[in-house]
Amino acid sequence: MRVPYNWLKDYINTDLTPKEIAQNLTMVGHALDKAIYEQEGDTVIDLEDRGNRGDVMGILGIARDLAAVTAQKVKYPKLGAIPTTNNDRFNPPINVESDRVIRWRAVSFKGVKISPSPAHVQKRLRSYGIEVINNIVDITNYIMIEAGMPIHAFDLDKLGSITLRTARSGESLVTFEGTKLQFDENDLIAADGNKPLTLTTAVGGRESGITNGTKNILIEAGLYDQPTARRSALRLNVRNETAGRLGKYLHPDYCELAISRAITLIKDLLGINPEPISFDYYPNKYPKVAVSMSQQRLNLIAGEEIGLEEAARILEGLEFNVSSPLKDGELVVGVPYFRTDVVMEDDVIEEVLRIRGYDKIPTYLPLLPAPKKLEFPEMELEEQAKDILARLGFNETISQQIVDKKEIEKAGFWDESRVVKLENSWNEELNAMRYDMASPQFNYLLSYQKHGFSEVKIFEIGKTYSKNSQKSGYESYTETRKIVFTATKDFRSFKSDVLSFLRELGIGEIAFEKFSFSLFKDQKSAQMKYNGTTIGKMGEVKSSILADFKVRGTVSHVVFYTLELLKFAKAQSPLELVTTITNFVIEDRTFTVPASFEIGKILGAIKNVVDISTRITFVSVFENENLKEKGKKSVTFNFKFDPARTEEETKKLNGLVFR
Amino acid sequence: MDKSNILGNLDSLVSGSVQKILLAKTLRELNELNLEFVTGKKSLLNELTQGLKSLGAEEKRRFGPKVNEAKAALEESIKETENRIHKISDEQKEWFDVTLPADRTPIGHLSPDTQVIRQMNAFFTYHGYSVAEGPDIETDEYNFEKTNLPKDHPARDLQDTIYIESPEILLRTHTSSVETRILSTYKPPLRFVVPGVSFRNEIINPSNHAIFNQYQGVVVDKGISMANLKATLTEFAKHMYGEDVKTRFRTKYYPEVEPGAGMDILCSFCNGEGCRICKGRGWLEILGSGMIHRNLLEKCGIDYRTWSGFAFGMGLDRIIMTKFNITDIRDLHGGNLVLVN
Repeated sequence: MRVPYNWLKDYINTDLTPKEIAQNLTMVGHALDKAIYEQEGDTVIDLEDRGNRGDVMGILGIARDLAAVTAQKVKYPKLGAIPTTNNDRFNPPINVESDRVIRWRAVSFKGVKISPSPAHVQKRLRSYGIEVINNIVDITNYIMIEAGMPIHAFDLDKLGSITLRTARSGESLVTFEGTKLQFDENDLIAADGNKPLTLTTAVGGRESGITNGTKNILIEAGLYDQPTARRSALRLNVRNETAGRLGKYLHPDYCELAISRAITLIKDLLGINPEPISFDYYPNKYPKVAVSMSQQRLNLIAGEEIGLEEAARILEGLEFNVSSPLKDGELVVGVPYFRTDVVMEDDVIEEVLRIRGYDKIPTYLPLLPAPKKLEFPEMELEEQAKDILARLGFNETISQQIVDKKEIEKAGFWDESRVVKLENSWNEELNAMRYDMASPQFNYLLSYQKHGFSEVKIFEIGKTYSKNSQKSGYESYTETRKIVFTATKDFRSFKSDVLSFLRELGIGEIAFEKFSFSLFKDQKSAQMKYNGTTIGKMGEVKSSILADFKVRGTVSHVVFYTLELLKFAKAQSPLELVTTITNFVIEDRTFTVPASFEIGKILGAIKNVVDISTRITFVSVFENENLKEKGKKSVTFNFKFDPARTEEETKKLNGLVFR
Repeated sequence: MDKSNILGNLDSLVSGSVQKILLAKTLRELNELNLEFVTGKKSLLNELTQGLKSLGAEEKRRFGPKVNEAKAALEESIKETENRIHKISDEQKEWFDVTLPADRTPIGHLSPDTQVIRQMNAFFTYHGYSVAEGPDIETDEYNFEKTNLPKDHPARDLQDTIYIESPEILLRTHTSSVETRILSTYKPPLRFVVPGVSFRNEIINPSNHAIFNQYQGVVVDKGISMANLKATLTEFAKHMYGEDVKTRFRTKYYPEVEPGAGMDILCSFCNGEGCRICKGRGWLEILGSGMIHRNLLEKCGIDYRTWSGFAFGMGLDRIIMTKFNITDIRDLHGGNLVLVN
């Protein structure tokens, strides 16, 4: 809301500078939106719109809050008497056919002379930043800015009757600015028979508007269902001063105020009086709102004792009607019509506290002890994983949850029935939820390579999203927590990182099984199992996929499922604490096995027979022409035996044969 | 060698060995000599000791001290030579370039997001808050209905929602959805913070993104007041911006709270004078807060007559960007941000 300083001073006596006013208003809920500026010889204080208060969309409403803060009285403008209401005799005939009309108040004037407004009116409007048109249109705008209530003027000679109804599909209107609006059944219009006159919640039409030749006018102030007003403005892209105000919750009494004010201004500026009959459609009168506020609740919210007398004084300053005497630690207040935001006790408490000043509220921490901790073990494991991966030299990346379908396809994961798609998005291409964590890793990898890094290790911890087409509704959506990391390494070297990571989580003794996965090279693809449960997949990424992401070199990638890791994390201590030095008997042993025999299986067999105290380390695998011919290879392990068991262990190993 | 012969030639054998030891040039050479003369199974010293055992009492008396002397002499020569070799190595005169460039050992780093979130979590966990979370795909119920944003609430128009299945299934527009989930699931007293991503269907530009991080905090207990809110958030501001930070609380409207409060810190660029950075306000808005609206508590099954609470929420991205000098929000999670050690 733009508030020209001199215009504001029409309604309040104040010596405060614009800066001081902005400061005061900011503290009570009307924050300065941008720096104070000069316009048309006035100083403009531009305040943020406050979502729940239609009353401060007029300078008068701002003046009321400023008056309450500075202990002043508002100087209300003159209001003219509205002629007797008689809807049946009102001319032109007006029919209301929609329950979305809350109130519609109208008067008419005959013999108006359209001319430019006087200089002081023009100056006011220009200082606010609204175009000056002619005396009648300027008056309607003046009242809208002053009171916050939009009103509209019709040229009476250009219409036979007015019907307020929802539009029919196919109906359209050219606005006074020349824009064509295409209506549907959700729009509320004023029409003359089949001819739309205005989008009554937002903008007037060109045909029925005021022109230089206009002689007789109808001035109306209407209030409508606010969501209807907001949605029409949004869908028809009419974002103007009127739509902004009618989308907010204004009290029907504003119609009365605005029409009275129009009568005064037309009399003052044009010297004419309204026709003797006025129109008023207001079927469901709004009841007066009274709210009681207890001393106890006020003290609780504030955190200190605030006297009800002080509260009463503040509320009276805001034009609340405080019933006296105060009784039983309770204050009953009548809420002024314009404060549609105040409906319950805590709303009244906010009024007291904000005008009194939040800075007056004391400052002390909660006095009760901290409650029991809430457990989120998946998140805790992931935090631990982040630290481990950073220690292993991996940089953390964070990527977007909403992705381009093409990215998912590139990584070979697109599955029409499983991917979660968005109904609407700010970008046509970004229309799906992340289905895999590999593609964003490759994009980051490319960024690192572009920056000249040849050895890259990155990780990300996050969620992927999928839909189960067998189910419906909310239940059909799954968020899967994953830990992924990626490095410019070959399978085996990367496996070292994977093993260290798992070991640090307390998960040792992982079984690697060859496993076909679309992301990985056929031979260099494995799933990892712990106690028979799959905890993740790792492999060397297919060159064809890397090429699609423009990533160079050999890249390995692993994906772990947080929930599965959580089942086994801390199964073993990651640290073995040793204080005594053991004298092992050390020996290398070589086994000759078929060429395609997995070393993991040899190791498994060895571990099956030897004692737990024996330490086994893989040394090398060897193949020469001779062995190749026989379809064999030889594999060497290093053994460290407990001296006392050496003989027994050796015997067991001698018994092992691999075919 | 004949044992008596060894003992007979003891002096010359020992002095010859000592000479050899003293001439050793490397530690490796010295180790071999040590094995040969002093420590090995067949070393001179061992031979001498063995030889001594076979002698009669008188001869033992005669040769015993000599063997001991020989042992001392050999060991001393080893020690002396070792010292000499170390000294040569330590005092090597050959020129060495200490400016020779070396590669830094690669160290992994946590993302700016994680670092800032942990800095915040550190404060709140110290004050007894749990770190909580919730789903990104939400229902209208938890995201809107329970946060005191019923169907026709104007604020819903401001929060342009990204829908998966409109109108019921959506991407959460704020972390308040986690607040309502937790308040609906656990019994008070409760204290928790929620760092998390939120989504809105908004045009993106360098300072505004449709995907953004929020940090939300909630306290529900007996007798919780605005005084508690102010103290907690003031202490938090000190934790983030230093002891000298100046804060202020002003009225601000949020549907989830009543009364509502915005917390500002004095603009450090203009010291309160008003500048481009603070849009002429002199203060920078850090977070929104307030006493949890009684409608929200009731919709989550908490009796507002017994319990009261405060909640606060802030955008994380701006804080992260300021701390790490990132000027375009799209760089935060867009795949371009490279951590250079």
